[in-house]
Amino acid sequence: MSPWRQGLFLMWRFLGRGKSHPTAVVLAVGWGTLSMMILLAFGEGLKQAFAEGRGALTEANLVVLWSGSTTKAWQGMKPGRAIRFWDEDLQALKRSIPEIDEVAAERSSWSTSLAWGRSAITARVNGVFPCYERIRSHIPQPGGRFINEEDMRLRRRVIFLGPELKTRLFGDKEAVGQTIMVRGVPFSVIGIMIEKRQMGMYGGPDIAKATIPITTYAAMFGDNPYHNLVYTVKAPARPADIETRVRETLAARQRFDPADEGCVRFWDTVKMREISDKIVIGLQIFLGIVGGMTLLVAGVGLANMLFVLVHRRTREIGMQMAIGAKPTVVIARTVGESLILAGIGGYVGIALSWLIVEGVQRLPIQNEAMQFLGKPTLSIPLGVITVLVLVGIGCLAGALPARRASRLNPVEALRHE
Amino acid sequence: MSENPIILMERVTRVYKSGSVETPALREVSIRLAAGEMAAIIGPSGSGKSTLMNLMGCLDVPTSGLYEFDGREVGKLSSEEMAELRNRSIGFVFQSFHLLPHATARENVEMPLLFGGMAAKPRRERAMEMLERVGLAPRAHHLPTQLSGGEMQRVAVARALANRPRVILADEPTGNLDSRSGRGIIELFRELWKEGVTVVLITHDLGLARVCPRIMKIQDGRIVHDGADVPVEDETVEEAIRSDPVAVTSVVDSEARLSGWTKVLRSVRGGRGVRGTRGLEPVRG
Ligand SMILES: Nc1ncnc2c1ncn2[C@@H]1O[C@H](COP(=O)(O)OP(=O)(O)O)[C@@H](O)[C@H]1O
Ligand SMILES: [Mg+2]
Repeated sequence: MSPWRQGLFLMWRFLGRGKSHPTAVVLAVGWGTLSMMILLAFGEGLKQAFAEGRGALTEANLVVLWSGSTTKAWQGMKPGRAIRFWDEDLQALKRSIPEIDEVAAERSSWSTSLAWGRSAITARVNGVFPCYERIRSHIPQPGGRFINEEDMRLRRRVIFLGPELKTRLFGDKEAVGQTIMVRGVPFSVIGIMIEKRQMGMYGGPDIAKATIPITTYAAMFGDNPYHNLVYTVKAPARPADIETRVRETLAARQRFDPADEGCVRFWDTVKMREISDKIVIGLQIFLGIVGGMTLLVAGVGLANMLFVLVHRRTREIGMQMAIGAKPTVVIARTVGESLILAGIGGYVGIALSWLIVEGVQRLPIQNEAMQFLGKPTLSIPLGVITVLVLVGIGCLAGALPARRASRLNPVEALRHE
Repeated sequence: MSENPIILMERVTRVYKSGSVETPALREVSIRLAAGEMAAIIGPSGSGKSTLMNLMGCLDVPTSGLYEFDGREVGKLSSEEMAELRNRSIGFVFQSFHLLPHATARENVEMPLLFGGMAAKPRRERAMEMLERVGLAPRAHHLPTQLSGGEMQRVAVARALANRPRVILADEPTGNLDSRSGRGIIELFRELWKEGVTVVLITHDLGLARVCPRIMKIQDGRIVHDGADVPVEDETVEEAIRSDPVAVTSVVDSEARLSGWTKVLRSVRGGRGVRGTRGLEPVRG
């Protein structure tokens, strides 16, 4: 039997005998691994939730533009004048700025009564353009459709529902083809939007709204100005590149100072994406730091624990050396012990974190906060790395004092208290 | 002594350093011990007996001087070779037994066999054989805490014998035992000696020392007596105590201090019983 095998034999034979409870080491490693994995799992879930939300803004290079009121005097007019946009402004934008791909506009009625059979609710109804299907991802579920040019031209009373709104009104029942009352006016349901997660939103999530052709909207609610304009920008141009020209075009038509920030407000998906990119990077840095610290604390705790454990065993090591144990035996025993205990701890930690993450995923909570938290996702490779780091630290922390003790001459080791 | 000595020390010195304080525990000690000899080492406490024994047992290395064990210069061995030497050729018995606390009697005896690389089955058999030899086979599965002092020392002896070493070194093996258990251990050593094992033992008990054909006395780190019997001055003290322990104290006080028996006398004065030499418990060194 080689000294290594002798040491491992000793380790195995005496594992758990005596005062030095190996459970403490197992727990330390298990706890470290568990916290690390849970942290990373939730971090990953959060990141994915972000990425998904961003994905829903497929509306690449989408800009939403609101009108405000003047804050400066201009061409003899006093500040405080409300700016309004009409269809001509929309057409002017499309004509004068070639980078603009599609333009659309939106009008909203906030609390509109909707009724189907006995169920009656209030919700937001928007008048929109057919291109919303593409540029604002109003994608119909199979079996339905979105508003089209015909609906626009004929001012049809057709309505497209967000899935949440549909559920509020219809429950599980089939909605497409049904007739609902919008402010007492019958509309037929032509489609239901697919579920989508939305990071950037204005005026509430799309899934809770209903949309009708903007021409129909005008017929019902009167021919008023648009609440906001929406346009997409052709790549490779970016929204920021043409913002000044958009501002100038609108300023010339509505006669306000192009430098007056209060008149037009922009919101665009590229900016949103940049912000969310920064959030994701920030999140990753944060998780990295917290993860690193968790690992550090666990590692230091483990090292200390093993150090004390082996130090307390110095006398025993002296006895073994006095009867002929070679230094390798002493080191092999300790390293083997660290390896086994840290290994078990790591295994337990990974198993527990798996259970917890599975449990959380099965929780039947479906609210906004949970959605934002996303789906916690275990990263087994990271877990394995964590365990390996801890096992490595454990081996070192065991080997160093063992080596020190084995270099003492036996008499010195025996005198140790 | 014509044959090659198994233990050969020439002008061996051991100085303990703790910080700036240097304690010379052994000063130029020279000893020759032939294979098959049995020797006792006596001397007052603090005189360097354990230091000498640790050097002999390769548990420590001399500060200066030459030590050869069976013709090999110990100072030149690596720590692995020292370990191997301790494992195969030397059986060490300590005053405080030094058994592994979490191992059973049999596991303790198996330990040197394990370090010698013996396989599990012969190891177990040999350990049981050794325990039988010291009369402890029925206690094979007891932990040291479940054994009496005498039994623990017998386990320690069985462990020392396990690898059938050529030399048994015992540092006050009876120091923590009652006199009857102590006798038993010494009897065992005598048997071993008769079988050809070299035995060196440290003792405070002159009666036990007399069992050995050779007696060395060490004082202040030097060998001051090496012969077939106890040195004369110790005899005197012993005789005096035996005849009248109380009256004699003042008379032999100065002599006793010289020979290191002061503490014994003090304990005698203190009224702790002295029932003949055999019952005289030595003061721990
Ligand atoms: N590790 C040590 N450090 C310093 N001094 C020591 C050490 N071990 C023993 N000594 C000193 O060396 C001398 C001899 O000690 P020792 O060999 O144990 O004597 P004995 O066994 O005869 O009682 C004593 O003075 C003792 O105090
Ligand atoms: Mg001593």
